[in-house]
Amino acid sequence: MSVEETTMLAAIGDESFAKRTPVIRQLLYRPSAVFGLAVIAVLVVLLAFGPLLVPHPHTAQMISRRLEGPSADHWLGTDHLGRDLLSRLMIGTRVALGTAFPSVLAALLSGLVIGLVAGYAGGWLDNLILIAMDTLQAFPALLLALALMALLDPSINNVILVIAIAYTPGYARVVRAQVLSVKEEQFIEVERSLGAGHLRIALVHIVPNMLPPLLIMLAMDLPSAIATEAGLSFLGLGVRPPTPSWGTILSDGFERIRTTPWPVIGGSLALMITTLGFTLFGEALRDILDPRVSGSRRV
Amino acid sequence: MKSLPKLSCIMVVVLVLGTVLAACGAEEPSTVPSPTPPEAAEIEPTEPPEPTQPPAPEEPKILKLRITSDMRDLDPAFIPQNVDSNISSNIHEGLIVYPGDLTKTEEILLAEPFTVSDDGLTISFRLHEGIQFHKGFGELTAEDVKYSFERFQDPELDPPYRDDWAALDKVEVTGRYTGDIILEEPFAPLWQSTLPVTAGWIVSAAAMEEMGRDALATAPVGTGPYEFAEWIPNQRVVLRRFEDYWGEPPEWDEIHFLVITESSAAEIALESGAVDFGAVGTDAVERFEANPDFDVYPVDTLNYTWMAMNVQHPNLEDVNVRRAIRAGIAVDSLIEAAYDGRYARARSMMAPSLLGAWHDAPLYERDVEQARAYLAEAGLESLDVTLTFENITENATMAEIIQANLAEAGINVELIPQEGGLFWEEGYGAEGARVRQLTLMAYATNPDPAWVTVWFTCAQVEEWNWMYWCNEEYDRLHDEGMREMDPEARAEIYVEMQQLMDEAAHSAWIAHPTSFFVAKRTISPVVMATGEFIPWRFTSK
Amino acid sequence: MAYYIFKRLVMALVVMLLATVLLASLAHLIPGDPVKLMLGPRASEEMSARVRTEMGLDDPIPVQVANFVIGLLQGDLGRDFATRSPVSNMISAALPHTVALAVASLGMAVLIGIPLGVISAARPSSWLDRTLGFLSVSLITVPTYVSALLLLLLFAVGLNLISSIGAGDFSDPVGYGKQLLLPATALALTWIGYLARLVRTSLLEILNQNYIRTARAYGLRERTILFTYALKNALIPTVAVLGVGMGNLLGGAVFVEVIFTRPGLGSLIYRSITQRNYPAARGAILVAAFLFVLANLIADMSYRYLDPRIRTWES
Repeated sequence: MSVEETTMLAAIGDESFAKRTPVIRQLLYRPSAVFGLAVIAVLVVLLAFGPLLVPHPHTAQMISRRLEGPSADHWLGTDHLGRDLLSRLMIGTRVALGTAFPSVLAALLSGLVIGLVAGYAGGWLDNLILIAMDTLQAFPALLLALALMALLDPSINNVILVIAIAYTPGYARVVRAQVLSVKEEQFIEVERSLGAGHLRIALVHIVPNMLPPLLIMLAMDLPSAIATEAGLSFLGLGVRPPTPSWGTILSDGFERIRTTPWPVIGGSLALMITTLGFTLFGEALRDILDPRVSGSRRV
Repeated sequence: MKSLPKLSCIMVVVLVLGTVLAACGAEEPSTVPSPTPPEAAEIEPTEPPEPTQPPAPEEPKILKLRITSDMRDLDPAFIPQNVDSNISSNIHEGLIVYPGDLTKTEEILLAEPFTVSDDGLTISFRLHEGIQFHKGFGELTAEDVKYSFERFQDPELDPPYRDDWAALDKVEVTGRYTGDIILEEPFAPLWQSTLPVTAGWIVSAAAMEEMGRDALATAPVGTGPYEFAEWIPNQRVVLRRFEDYWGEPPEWDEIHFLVITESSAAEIALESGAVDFGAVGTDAVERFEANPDFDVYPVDTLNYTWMAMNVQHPNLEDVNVRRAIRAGIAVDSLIEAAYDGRYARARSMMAPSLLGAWHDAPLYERDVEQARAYLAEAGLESLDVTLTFENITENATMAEIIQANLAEAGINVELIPQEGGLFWEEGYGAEGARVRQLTLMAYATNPDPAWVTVWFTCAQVEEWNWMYWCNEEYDRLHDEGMREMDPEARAEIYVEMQQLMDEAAHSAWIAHPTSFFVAKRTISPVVMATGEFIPWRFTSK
Repeated sequence: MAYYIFKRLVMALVVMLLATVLLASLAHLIPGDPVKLMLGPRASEEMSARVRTEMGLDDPIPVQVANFVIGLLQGDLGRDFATRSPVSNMISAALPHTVALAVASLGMAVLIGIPLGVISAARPSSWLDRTLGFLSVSLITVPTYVSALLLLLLFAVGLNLISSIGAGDFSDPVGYGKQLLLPATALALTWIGYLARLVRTSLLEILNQNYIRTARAYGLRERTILFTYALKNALIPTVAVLGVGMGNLLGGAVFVEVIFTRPGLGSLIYRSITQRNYPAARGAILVAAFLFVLANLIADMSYRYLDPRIRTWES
């Protein structure tokens, strides 16, 4: 590991700095990472305290004041039911993060199990799993999610399920590849000769080794999961209408784009800032933990 | 070092492949190649051509119209939606037709007026001679009339509009051009909502024989001023002027129906000149009224929208609960938010201009206290119900307001948006009576009261009566109304039926939609109170 | 190499077959009675039952799936529920518009993204490089539908410059091109950012390699080195990502075609899914999946063919 670590850290520039500084401190030295962290911090605050922070209750309707532009009272204007747009965007954070985190985490966990089984078992089981993953990946991720959503009622739980299914093969592949490369290493051979069980080897040696790359993947997948949820909701195949998702706000705005631009502008900004924040943070994390992996898989 | 040429080579291959694919695909669906480039479609907005200087003959006149969804079935016995009748009405003709106004009809295919027997059960007709069907299917004869009407009674074919000819016994052919339509019993809707609408259109018996219904459903043959030319799924339908048309040749060489689903897209298409005519959303009306290049044609339709309450559902079986819900919603804000206040509020399911409309029906204003009182009378403090609706913008808007309205009265509403297919299937019959509670509904109608009341009879509980409400007195009145030929007596019967519905409190009537059609200033369109338009009657100014 | 190609082809075929089976069985789980949808609201029970039998919907699902696969091998994708016309007709009417969209946006991405990458790599760590780097990340992260909505808002609604609705007609190439401009840009933005980054990274990597250092030592001009030697090799990885790119384009095309109301494969998929028109949805998604697998295959093959390192390694 140490040789790889050296090459890894060399890319950042100051080797000795990197070696003795914890990851968080290193992040704080990168402007893009600081921006990413700030965005994430704001989102987490909104997630936790959103209902206390909103200027208006996000469900309060005022039909006579619908589709208004920005004013001192409503900073981003009102939607088609006279509800405060800013408040709805703030509450929308809950859907965005509340879908993205569980779905990506579920994909990681199921990918971990599938990949471990495939890599560890080898043989026909491995081939079977590989072909199954190939088949799922034969569909562009969004189309797979669309096809699955057509089978299910629109709800947050189903969106989570669908995104998790679409993202699982990616994790399973990475885990499998890692298992294959670690499996043959000397210390595993030694352990095995000492009589360690498969599960023990997997949990103690293999899983901890592959956590950094998986964490990077997770960080990079979060923004795409957020975008996928909002995309499904935009198409009316995501969360149900009364729940304020950024995607439904955009879709309501799209229907009335010639009347008022504010819902489209507001929803777009929320999505752009969020995905950019998560991506910058994820890339900084990647550069620090493992600079060899480059480029995000999904765009 | 040779990789660049290879790279460009591969890119060229990919591009060529793409182009070939595009080229192959583009031609396949066209049954008839379109001879005209789209630029030719532009109608000169200024200076109508002088009679002495006719326009260059190679410039065909094309009328371009928006349709809100793709066509599905143009067979008169199967027409599933207005889009299909808007297209099919240029291809098919009936013995009589509305001249653009639903209060009167005019006889067209007939050489002399109908003669009706004293009991009203035998209607004799004589056709014009020499009327030709499209695509060489020969002359129109009384046999075609017989075939077209009697197929509604064919159990093998079993068309959805069989009830339009429910009273038909048979059509007797008495000569090549003459025949008698024989009814089993008096049938009041015959002249208003059977003969002049799709159920009265004549198809070619020979074409049906030769091509079969399935083929004709998407490439029909009639006697109308336009014949079917081309259909590119989800893009456009093209009709071409029928050169052997028996009547006055119509104005346009071709009529193009362009599929534009979204209202906002249709508005842009109008403004950019991609279409000459089409329906727009209520939010665009003001903009087009202000634009000197366009005229707006508002058409108050006979259609009706409402919130239906399932009287069979345990949550809603108590009439006081239904009264609470009716008192709890602000119908005016529904209309304001969903339709920009541009639809007329409905007092019942019958629009004011329809025979039998109940003009003094009560208008329920929102009264939260009253709603709570009704709820208390039912022995409840709060209630959880579901509201199902077809997932389109206006419905979603209304559903969210209803949800907020009823929450204040202690009624929690769960919203269930469904796409068209599922929405119509789930509510149908027994399954619907079990699962549906509140449902946002919209029905269209032809201009006869029986066409409105028929959906709420006991027999329809198994089909389209989504209040799942059965009242024997209502059923009796419905049958009486079909047989009663005196308009005033008929009107009284229908008012009584609406009062029965009001007492049952199973519906919160919302609106009679107004269709807003926008046409280029250079075009005079013809639109009807059914929300349909008649392209072949359009003229240029 | 020949063995590898063979293996890869066989795998692609197996995956396509499995994807077909998966999709055909999925489609039968869609809620909603397709027959009612097809016949319209007023159809009777008897008639629905007859159509159900006619269309084989009463067969057990495995039989229906097998029938679909057999039909597919004969080029038959089934009949659309709404119009009873062949699904293959709908797809062949839609596909050219999506191919045009994909080719135009990939073209844009190549024409803009690659030069941006070269500019960045020419002066690494300069302010220009940093600005372009930030721009690229931003472009990559903006969801396609956001780009599409903002372009629509800015150019079609705000400035009223371009009529942005529908696809136009192939018989009018100029008009068609104009209609294509905004949608293709919306779809291309992500890829402009992505290619710019990719080209920059691989260019920098190559510029650090021995033969370039040697060239520098021989005193060749930096410009000559950059364009004559380095760029050619740096472009090879872009070929590899074009396959993945195709998948993203097909996904993004759904949004772009819905927002700009283009009658392509994406909007066909969207419409059939929301209308529960499952033969159409099944056929259209399947064609998209096949295109994706094919694009991946071609990209993979060309990459291996082009990259001398992989070729020697393989043999």
